[in-house]
Amino acid sequence: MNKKNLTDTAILTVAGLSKSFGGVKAVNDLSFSVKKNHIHAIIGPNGAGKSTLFNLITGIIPPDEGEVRFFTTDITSLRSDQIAKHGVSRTFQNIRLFPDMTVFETVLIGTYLLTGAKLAPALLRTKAFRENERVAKQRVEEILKFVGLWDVRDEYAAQLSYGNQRRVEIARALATQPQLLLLDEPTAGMNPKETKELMDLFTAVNNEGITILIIAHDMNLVNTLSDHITVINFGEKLVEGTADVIQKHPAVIEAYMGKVKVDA
Amino acid sequence: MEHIRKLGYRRLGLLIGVLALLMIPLGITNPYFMYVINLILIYILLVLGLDLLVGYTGQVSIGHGAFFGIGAYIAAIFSTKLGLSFWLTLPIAILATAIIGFIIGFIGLKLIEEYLVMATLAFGTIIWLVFLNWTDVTGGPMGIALIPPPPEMNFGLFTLSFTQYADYYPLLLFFVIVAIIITKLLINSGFGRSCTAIRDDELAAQSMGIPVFRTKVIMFTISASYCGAAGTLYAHFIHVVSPETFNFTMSVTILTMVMIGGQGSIIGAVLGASLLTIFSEALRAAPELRMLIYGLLIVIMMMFFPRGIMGIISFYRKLIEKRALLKKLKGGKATVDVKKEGLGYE
Amino acid sequence: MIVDQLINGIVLGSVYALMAIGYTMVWNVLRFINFAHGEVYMGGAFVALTTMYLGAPVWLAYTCGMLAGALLGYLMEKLVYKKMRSAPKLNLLIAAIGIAIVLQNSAQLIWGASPERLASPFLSNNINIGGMMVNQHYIFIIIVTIIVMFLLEFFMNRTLMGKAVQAASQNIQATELMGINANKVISITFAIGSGVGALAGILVGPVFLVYPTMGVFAGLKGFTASVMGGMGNIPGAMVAGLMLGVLESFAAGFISSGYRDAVAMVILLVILLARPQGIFGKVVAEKV
Repeated sequence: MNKKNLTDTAILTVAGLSKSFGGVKAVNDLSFSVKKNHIHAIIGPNGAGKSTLFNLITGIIPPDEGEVRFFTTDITSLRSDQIAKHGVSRTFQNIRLFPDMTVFETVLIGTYLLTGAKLAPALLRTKAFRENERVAKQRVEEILKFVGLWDVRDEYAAQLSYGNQRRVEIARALATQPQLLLLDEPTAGMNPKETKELMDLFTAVNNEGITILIIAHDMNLVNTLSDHITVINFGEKLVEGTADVIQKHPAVIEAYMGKVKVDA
Repeated sequence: MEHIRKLGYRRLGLLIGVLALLMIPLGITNPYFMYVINLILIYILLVLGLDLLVGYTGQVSIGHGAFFGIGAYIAAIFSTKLGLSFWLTLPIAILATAIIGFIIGFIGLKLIEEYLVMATLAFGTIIWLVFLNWTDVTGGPMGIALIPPPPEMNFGLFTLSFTQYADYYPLLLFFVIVAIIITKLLINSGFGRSCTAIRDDELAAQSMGIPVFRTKVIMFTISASYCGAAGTLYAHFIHVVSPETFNFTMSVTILTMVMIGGQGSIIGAVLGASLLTIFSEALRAAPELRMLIYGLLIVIMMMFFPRGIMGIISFYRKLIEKRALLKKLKGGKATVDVKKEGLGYE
Repeated sequence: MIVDQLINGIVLGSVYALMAIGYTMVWNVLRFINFAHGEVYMGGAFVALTTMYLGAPVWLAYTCGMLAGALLGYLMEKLVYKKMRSAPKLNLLIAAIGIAIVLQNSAQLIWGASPERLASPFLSNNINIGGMMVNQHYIFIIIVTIIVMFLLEFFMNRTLMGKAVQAASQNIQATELMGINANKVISITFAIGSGVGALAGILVGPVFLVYPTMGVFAGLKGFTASVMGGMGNIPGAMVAGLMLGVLESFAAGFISSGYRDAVAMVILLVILLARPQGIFGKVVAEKV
């Protein structure tokens, strides 16, 4: 693990968050906080409510109760585009790319917050507009080189290999210049080589000062990468702590390791 | 340097193209042909407008005939009753259709997919019934006649006075070129990209910070105002407006042109508008069969060429590219797939 | 006056209800709006007209019209929609509009554009109901509609095929997995919905006449009724059709007859915005 500047400032605070679907409590009175610059992992068995939690944090679905704060700002009732504007970006469990776009175009979409969408400058092609476009495209170039996709920039994103599609999604999220990056099972379905490469990428992203909240099943990944782990089950927090603490915790062993087969 | 020269050639090509287009009336003496060509130009405006919404933003309207009608009626009413000239009715109509488009978009775009289609259908029908029944203002089923042509335009060297069909051609062509330029500027901007993102995946777009609803409403407004402009041009060109021009069939015709040309493509819009207009005019020789063949063509296109003419073109282009690539790789073990995979990031 | 409007409304409403059933049934299995449904209504009426012209008795002509409508719906699906199962919804929509154009203009070629009256054994007789003189054909329309609704209700809930149709509307893939032939279910759905739609056209033929574009507004109204009742909800479509007919009839009688067609469109807009799940629908939680 890199030596990095771990802080105690909470970048994201989830307090008493609840959501039920037709009587089933997907997330139940959940509270935890993510510290700035950490890689924070959320683990738990399938159906534990992890993806629902992400959808609640990013404003895709509204919670029934509870609060989400970004630093000290209450973002609970904001739309997902407003939340992105605050500096929270994400990837999706089932990769969601734009089917008709190349890799470059896809990542360029992520620069929306940078370029804006003002109509008058676009129609007049003002100097500021052209400068913005140039900066955005340069930024896309940097990001694509950073994630290692520069050589395939003109290919259709949806036609890339699974691992590279995931990279495109991460690149697109990075283009929004997030402070907090939410990754929903980014290594699901990857082979060990791809997983290893992605883990290196996450570390590199984290070293750029971006806090990562990651949902993962791969315990090897979680133990290697994360500074802090929150285990949830049935939408409730089971336990949290560092990898060492979690691995030894009997409740985790019983509820998680005991049931779900883990590949090392 | 290379690409600068290329850009220069492109500009030169465009200039020659526009000049050639301007020459068209010189070669055509039959006023009916000129009429059809002008009609095509008006349809191109409509199709460009609707394509911004359907092709680039993924939101479907079958009520855009109403915006066309509103533009035409505003031009008719303001010019015949208040004596305003074309150069005043045009901005008024654009503004009015933009405002109405904004309101309809604001209400309707809360709905998705089929439900939006239904809502725009209802809106279009209501507006058509208003044209038909608000006799005091719209002239009822008779419509409004004697709409004046645009005032004479003096360019120093020559004067453009609108007495015959060919005179309208440069004016209409000018607006079509302006519309194409605006469309291009729009789609190649942050705004245009965000629309395409919404079309492809709304949720992902919103998660990247794009305000989906607002973007859709703005595009709806712009799209409506294109149709408003087309309506004003139509009214001053044909000199008569009546309700049956702006019924459901018109909305469907515009949408069909978008689909047949190929969504999300300016060339497609031009092709769709041109071919369908020519086709339908050519079939006037067989009036009984005209609409029947027209309908059949639509069904066949949708069944076998879902992405319209542009879809066919890009299919063949890809096929040719693939063949060329295979030829290049012939002899080696390489195949197209290997080439793709070979460009990995390691 | 009020009672008159009410009876007119119920008659109109019966027709809308019958039309709405076609839209709703198709929506149920394919999640798409069959914009050519209004033309089935027209086609059925014309076939009945021709059969009668050839000397067939009324009941036979009506039956032939209905069967022709069912066949038309079946063929539409078999020849076009079936080939487009994986196509985008927008393409299906445009194809349906294309079919509508083809059918309207074929009718014009075959039968001409001038409206014709379909014969009815009851049209010239009035019946006295509590001092009110009501046209017997109106009563006939209402009775036939009620019978059809009971038959449909029976078919959907009491027969194996009806249950398959219901299952298909829940989840067509799952239905397939359970060994039900989805293609057969879809064909039957189109045939029944279209047959009922054609019946609606035949029933109004003696009152509102038969002509190639008769299906356009009838289609829009039937479609509005299906949205009012909640897309996919058959009993809802029936009740909503009646409501729409009565509302429209009163609006035309008391506000302005020119805007009578606008009533349905305004209702459609209001329902879509305020209650897109329909008057009788329940809100379905959205999945992300």
